[in-house]
Amino acid sequence: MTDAPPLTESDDAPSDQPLLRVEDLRVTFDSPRGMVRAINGVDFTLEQGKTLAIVGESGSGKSVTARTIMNLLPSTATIEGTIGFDDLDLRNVSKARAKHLMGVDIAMVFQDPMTSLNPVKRIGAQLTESMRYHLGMSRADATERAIELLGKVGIPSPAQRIRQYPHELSGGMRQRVVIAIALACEPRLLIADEPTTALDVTVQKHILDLLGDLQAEEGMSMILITHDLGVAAGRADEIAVMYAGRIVERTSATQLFAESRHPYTDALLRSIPQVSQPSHTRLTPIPGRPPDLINLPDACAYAPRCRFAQADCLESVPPVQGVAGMHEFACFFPANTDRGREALASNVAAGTTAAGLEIEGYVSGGVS
Amino acid sequence: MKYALTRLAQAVVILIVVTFLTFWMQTLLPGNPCIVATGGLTSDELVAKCEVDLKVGENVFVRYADWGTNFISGDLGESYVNGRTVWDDLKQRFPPTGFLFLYSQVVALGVAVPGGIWAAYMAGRKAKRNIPTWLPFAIVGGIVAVSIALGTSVFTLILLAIFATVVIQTLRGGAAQDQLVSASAFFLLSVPVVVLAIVGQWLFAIRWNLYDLSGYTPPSEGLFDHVKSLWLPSVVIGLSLSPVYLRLLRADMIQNLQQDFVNVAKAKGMPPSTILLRHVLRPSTLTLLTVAGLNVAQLVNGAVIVEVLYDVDGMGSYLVSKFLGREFIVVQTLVALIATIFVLANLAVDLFYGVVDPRVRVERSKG
Ligand SMILES: Nc1ncnc2c1ncn2[C@@H]1O[C@H](COP(=O)(O)OP(=O)(O)O)[C@@H](O)[C@H]1O
Ligand code: SF4
Ligand SMILES: [Mg+2]
Repeated sequence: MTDAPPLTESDDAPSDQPLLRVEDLRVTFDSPRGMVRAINGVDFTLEQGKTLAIVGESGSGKSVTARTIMNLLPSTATIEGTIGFDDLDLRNVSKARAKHLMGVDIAMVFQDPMTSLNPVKRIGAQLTESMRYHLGMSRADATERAIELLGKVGIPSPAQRIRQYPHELSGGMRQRVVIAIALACEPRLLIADEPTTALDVTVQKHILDLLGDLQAEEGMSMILITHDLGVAAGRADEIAVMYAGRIVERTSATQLFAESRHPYTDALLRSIPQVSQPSHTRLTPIPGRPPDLINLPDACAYAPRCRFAQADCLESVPPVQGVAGMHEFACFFPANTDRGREALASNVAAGTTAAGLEIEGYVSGGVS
Repeated sequence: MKYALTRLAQAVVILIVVTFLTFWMQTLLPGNPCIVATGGLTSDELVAKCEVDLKVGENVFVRYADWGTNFISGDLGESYVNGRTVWDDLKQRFPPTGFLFLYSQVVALGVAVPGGIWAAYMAGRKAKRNIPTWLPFAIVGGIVAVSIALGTSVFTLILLAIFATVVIQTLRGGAAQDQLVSASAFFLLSVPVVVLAIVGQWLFAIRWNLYDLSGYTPPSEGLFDHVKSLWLPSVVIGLSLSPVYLRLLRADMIQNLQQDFVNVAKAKGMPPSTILLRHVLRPSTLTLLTVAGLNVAQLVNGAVIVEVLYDVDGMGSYLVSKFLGREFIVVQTLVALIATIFVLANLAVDLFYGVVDPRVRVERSKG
């Protein structure tokens, strides 16, 4: 267990290491305005066959995390930290191994199916391309498998579809094609970056169910990125909540919905009408905006919007605490704890938090 | 198909309007065209024949209709100065210009397509080595200083400086190479064709004696001699056209490289060459095609200077001589011919869009 995250408990450790291990990942971008600190120390692991949901508002760093793993960042990015996949160090892969790595062992589904497919190439060519390149399949074999794959992702009359161009398909159908492309070489890890955000509500559930079914069938690991905690409910084994480039809370889905610790998660849960049922409502009702990633304060990044915030929160960045690998969170006054309840009560009494946020009669999971 | 027919009908209308307007303007010129054209040097019978042929004195519509019917039936008229038919002249004058155009396009695209792809690819990459900005200047400055001290010629000095810059930018790699290609393109763009033609002539025909200024050789007299007789003017015109093509292609490629489908292709693990050539190049050629179509106008105007300088007896010099000789009815016929080629070439480009991008076909079928 040399690659285990520093906080992993030794007694309960699994015998073989997790498939994906991200340790202290940091990503910055050079921009005309200055250095954008998009990812600021992200740690997580993902077991073979499991699903991790990464949840957070727009701009919290979910896509950058995915793109870092996929090695898709632009040249303005600077990366630190390690990404372990199986027995590989993804940031230092030999040229020979890298040639047949992405698209074969790790694949990705993108947010917008309307722009994910090449408009001037037929569906069939886009599907068979990677099989022919990576697996050395003949055109006929690859085409046969492409038809099979299209059937698998629920596309009617697949044999005709491969002759069509993307613009001849609906958004939902295109996303199915994108999924088929990702599955072409039977990846062990599938990263789905908001795969349903751009789709009609009626189609969203179908695509998510399809992803779930395929994952179970193929025994893949999956990272499901979403801004909607409702999407993660019932589909993820584990949930990581991201805020300003950090994972602020990470635990099993059941634990998160039962007893969240981070005030941000708490607020997210509150923004879903009914926790027990998956929903597709957007997570916006949290007042305020995320911090400017160019001028990140040396404090809790959530403090200006946090109803629990105390003076301590403005002095340093809260470290990760909790039960390592089981329930981790980065907060000085966690919700659903006595400490948190006290902090909230004193803020409610004062009518304002230490960061100056005005609150009246806020009912929190902390006050039960 | 319906779209193609509509566009063809449009093209015909455009041609009628253009030729009529030039015809009408030509009739506004003072004097009897038959006498003006010959400068009074030919016999009275010829002038009389010419007046009958051209229906001088009739109204402009009748004359245009007559000229138009002849033009369509292939009777391009004749010169009353030397009695040769325009058709005979064209058989001699068109091939050099046609080949020159063809070869220059090949050169232009041969430089612009790889250059544009390479520059677009490099533009998005990190530098390989960190060479400080002052160093190249110091090295080039050093070369200049040493050359001056040694008394080498200005020419050698320029070559050395260019060589040093290329080497340094290549060592830097990444965006520096895009800068090198783009800056060279910009430099070429700002050099007028005349200058390029004269410098080329001086370098290759005079200094190094690699090109004979002996005029055009038709392919029938040997392919080697044929190419030998046209390569330098083709390179000159091609080089002067290439920066425009290169910059258009580079810009479109850079834009298309930002598209999501490129990330999908990368996530599929496709190598850069596949992504550039099989995914991005084709949708990036639409602007290039458009401009190449418009460049058919170069068939005559752009080539004039080069044809004159390189002693190629083509359409450019033909048109100029007929114009200076005030044989406006011949000029009219040539203008109509060029306009026809131009409109047809652009029609072809227009129809080709649909082949390049299937989405265009859909939009068109919607009307
Ligand atoms: N290429 C880039 N250059 C500069 N900043 C970037 C770049 N890509 C992403 N960012 C910034 O990183 C932050 C996280 O972005 P992203 O991961 O896309 O968020 P999301 O959680 O919505 O997927 C955002 O503030 C975004 O502006
Ligand atoms: S209580 Fe403090 S540390 Fe916790 S989220 Fe709020 S501001 Fe941050
Ligand atoms: Mg995103």
